[in-house]
Amino acid sequence: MKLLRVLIVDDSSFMRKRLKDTLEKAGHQVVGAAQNGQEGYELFKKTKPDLVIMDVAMQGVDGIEGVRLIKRDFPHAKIIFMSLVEDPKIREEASRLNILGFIGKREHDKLLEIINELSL
Amino acid sequence: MADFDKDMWEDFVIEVQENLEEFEPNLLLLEQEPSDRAILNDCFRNMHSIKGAANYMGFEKMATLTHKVENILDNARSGIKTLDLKAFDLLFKSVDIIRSLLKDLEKNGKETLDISEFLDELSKVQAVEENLKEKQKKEEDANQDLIDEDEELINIFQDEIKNLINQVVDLSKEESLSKKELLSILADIERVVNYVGKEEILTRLNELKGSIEAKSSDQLSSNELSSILEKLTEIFKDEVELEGNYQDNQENEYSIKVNFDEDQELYQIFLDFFKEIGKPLASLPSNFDYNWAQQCQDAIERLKSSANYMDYMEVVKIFEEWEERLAEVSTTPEEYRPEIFSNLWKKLEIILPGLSDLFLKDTKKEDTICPGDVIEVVKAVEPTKDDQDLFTCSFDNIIDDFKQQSKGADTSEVEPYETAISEEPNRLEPSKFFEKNVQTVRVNLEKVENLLEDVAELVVLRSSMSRNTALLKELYTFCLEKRMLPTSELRRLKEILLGFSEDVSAFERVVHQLQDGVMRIRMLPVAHLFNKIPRLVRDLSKRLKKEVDIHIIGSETTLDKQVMEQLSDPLIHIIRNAVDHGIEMPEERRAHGKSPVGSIVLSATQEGNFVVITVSDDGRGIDKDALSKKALKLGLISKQDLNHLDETHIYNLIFAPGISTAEEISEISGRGVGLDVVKKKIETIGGNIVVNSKKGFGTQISLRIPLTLAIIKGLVVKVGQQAMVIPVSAISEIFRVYSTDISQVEGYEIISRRQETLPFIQLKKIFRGTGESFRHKYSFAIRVRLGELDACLGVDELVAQQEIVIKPLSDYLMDRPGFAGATILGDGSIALILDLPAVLEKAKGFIKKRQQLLEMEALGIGQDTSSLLH
Repeated sequence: MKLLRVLIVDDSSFMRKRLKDTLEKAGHQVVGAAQNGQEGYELFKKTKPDLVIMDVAMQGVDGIEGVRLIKRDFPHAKIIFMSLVEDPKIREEASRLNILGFIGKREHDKLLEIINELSL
Repeated sequence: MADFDKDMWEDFVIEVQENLEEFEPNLLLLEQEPSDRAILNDCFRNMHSIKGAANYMGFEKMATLTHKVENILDNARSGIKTLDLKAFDLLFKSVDIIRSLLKDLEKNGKETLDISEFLDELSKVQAVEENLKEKQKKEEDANQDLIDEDEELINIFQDEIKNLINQVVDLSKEESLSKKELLSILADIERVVNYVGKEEILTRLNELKGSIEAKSSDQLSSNELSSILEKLTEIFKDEVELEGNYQDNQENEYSIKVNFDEDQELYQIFLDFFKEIGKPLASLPSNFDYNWAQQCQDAIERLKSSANYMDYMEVVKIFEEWEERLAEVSTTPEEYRPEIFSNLWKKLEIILPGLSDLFLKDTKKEDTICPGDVIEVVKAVEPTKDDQDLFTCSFDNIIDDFKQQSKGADTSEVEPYETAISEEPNRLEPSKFFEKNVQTVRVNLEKVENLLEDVAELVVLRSSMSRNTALLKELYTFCLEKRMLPTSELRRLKEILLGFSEDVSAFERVVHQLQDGVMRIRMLPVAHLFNKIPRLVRDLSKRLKKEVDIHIIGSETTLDKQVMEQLSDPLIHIIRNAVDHGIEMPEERRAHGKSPVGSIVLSATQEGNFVVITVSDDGRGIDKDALSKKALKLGLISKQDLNHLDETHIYNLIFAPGISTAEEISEISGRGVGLDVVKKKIETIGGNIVVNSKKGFGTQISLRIPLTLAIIKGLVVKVGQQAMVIPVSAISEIFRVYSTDISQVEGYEIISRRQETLPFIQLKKIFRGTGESFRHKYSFAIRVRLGELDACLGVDELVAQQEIVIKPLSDYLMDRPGFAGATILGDGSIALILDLPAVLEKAKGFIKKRQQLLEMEALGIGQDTSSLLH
């Protein structure tokens, strides 16, 4: 199993820390954590992670926009949305961005599954 | 129960609390400015974060609750329903309930609280909102139905009209167009319109027909034709769902084939590229210009290859056509007409959404026929959208949005990071980037407490070291005087001694800094204390049907956490009094020429080692006369006092226990009960409280609070063999007393000092078991003042003034009042810290007595009082 370098983008310090713990316990490396899409994009450029876990609703540049920014420069970036947003419009918009998946915050167990598939 | 560890739980609590702490003041702001989207967004985000965390932890109830709150906020945000009073009440209540849920979780490890009732209430508000949403939708649907009724008919009508108008367009491409042909098409249009029975259009068509018939020449110029076309489209603007172009058949073909939806990014890049080099295509010269043709050719070549790469075959086709036409006019420049190319440009604009906006600015500046203008006509023709257009339109929007957003992103990239921050200082969170996150560390308070204890040990050690240095010096002097050591040895001893005392003073300095630093860690902005006040004021004023504004100043002032905790209740009490008794009802305020909205200012400033917290209201103030009358009745002051007591003194009578508990006075003076408790509490933490008031203009209460409780400056004294500490902050003077200075009145020991008679409290007599002191001819009196209590404490010896680290006493000792704590002195011995308020209680009896005596004297019956009262 390959260990991944992961970037976390979430405006909640709680989620950032939780995700970091979860990922690091599984042996992956968290290379950065950003609070909004813009920061996420900046950190992506700096760290070039294997995977981005992105929240959708964030203050400032939101997740959708953040993914667009990243994908504009790095079309092959691997991104997972992790959000509670249920608005089908947003979900659809997100799914059009060529991302790996869209999971709810409650389904955080799924996160590791997806990551495991990725790293195999 | 979900599998979460302690660490996770702590993070969760912090997350929820932090968001609530932001949410509550935001909500208060929002109540003032319900339409402020920025605040609304912040509120929404706070709830969203809590929801996220609760979901992560699997706390169903909190997740549901926050979800519902979020919905209400979202509806407000999308303008479906603005927040009314009831909604705000519910939102505030939800804050309380989330807090209760937190407590519940902490206590029971799961959500045992039944919040279903509240959830129902929330649902009700939401349901109302949903209904509104439904209603809006229904209305829209109803309108839709009307249209649907004769949809078929209208469809046919539209198709016909479109066809006919396209015929006109096709004709316009010919070299010229005869009047007759045009009129026959118009007649056809008329027939169709007649069929649907649109009278208004008919009249307008007739007008148009008339104007064409009136034209003298049989042939129409292209200019005339285009103006006719314009009019025609104008007439059908509201009736026919014309596409945004004249050639709708072709358009259908194009847009279906080019599906940009899949890769907007690529498309955007293409557009950008277009913008960069495609300018010649957009600005058509009115006469043929060879340079222009060349530029066009270059641009098209490059654009064509891009379009080829992107697989935009229709675009490539148009470019090819453009090239062809360009080649044609290059050989026969006299045949050049801008329209040839503007038609092609229009086609491009149709297939390439967003293109039209690219050159609008550039083209308008130039004196050329610009496709942009043509497009505007086209846009006017495009009133409603059929399916085709809907797609183009919404896509247009997406592209536009995208452009704007990416533009926004670009500028923020260019702008220095600092400027971005300084624009919105309020929004700046301490951790902007992850790297910067490291700058703040959350530490368990326990760890800080432990650290502080260690520092306290150091402080004791420091005292001990200074003491030992002093002893060493004594020893050295002794040796020197007695010549007990040879000179060389003495010199060495002196050197060691000097080096040592230097080290000690350096050590002292470092310890002092360390102590200061650790104290600072414990310091928190008073915002923690102040933040809950606006909510309190809001709830109180709502309940009392008053209008009160609260202004908070200096909430960044820092104060020891422990002190802050002690301050919470008194502050709430004072604020409650201000709202309840200080601020008048709106009508009353208006009658007195004041704004109906009362105002309370809560401020904090640091003054040396103290923080002054002031609460001022612009209410009715304290009725001085009623207050002094009452105080007289209770025997707290004498009639004589009335004449010479200054205002402050009288106002401070509201803190006297007898007065504030009497109900009548609270009605007359408008000041509530229990202020004596407030005063006592403030004094136990070493602070004092002062009130000032002006009848009709308001009241101001100031609390002067020591920065910290843990370390105080104390005077170490000896009572018998026992060392005791008296807080320096309370001491006003120290003087020597001989036994002859002390006299007795009715069992109270008194002492006269500078024309004043003061109670003299011999600590030796209060505290038994202190042991006998060395028999001095005299002892010391330490005059202390706490509020209106002024007394002298008798001690046997003065030892030193030093910084005292307060250590709490065990509970069983705390039951016996008199000591506030203990400390360890430099020599390792233990000193007890005097609890001044408790000790001074002893003097109260005398103060009462003194009043009686004064009254007796006033009545002329006191004979021997002259010796007592000077």
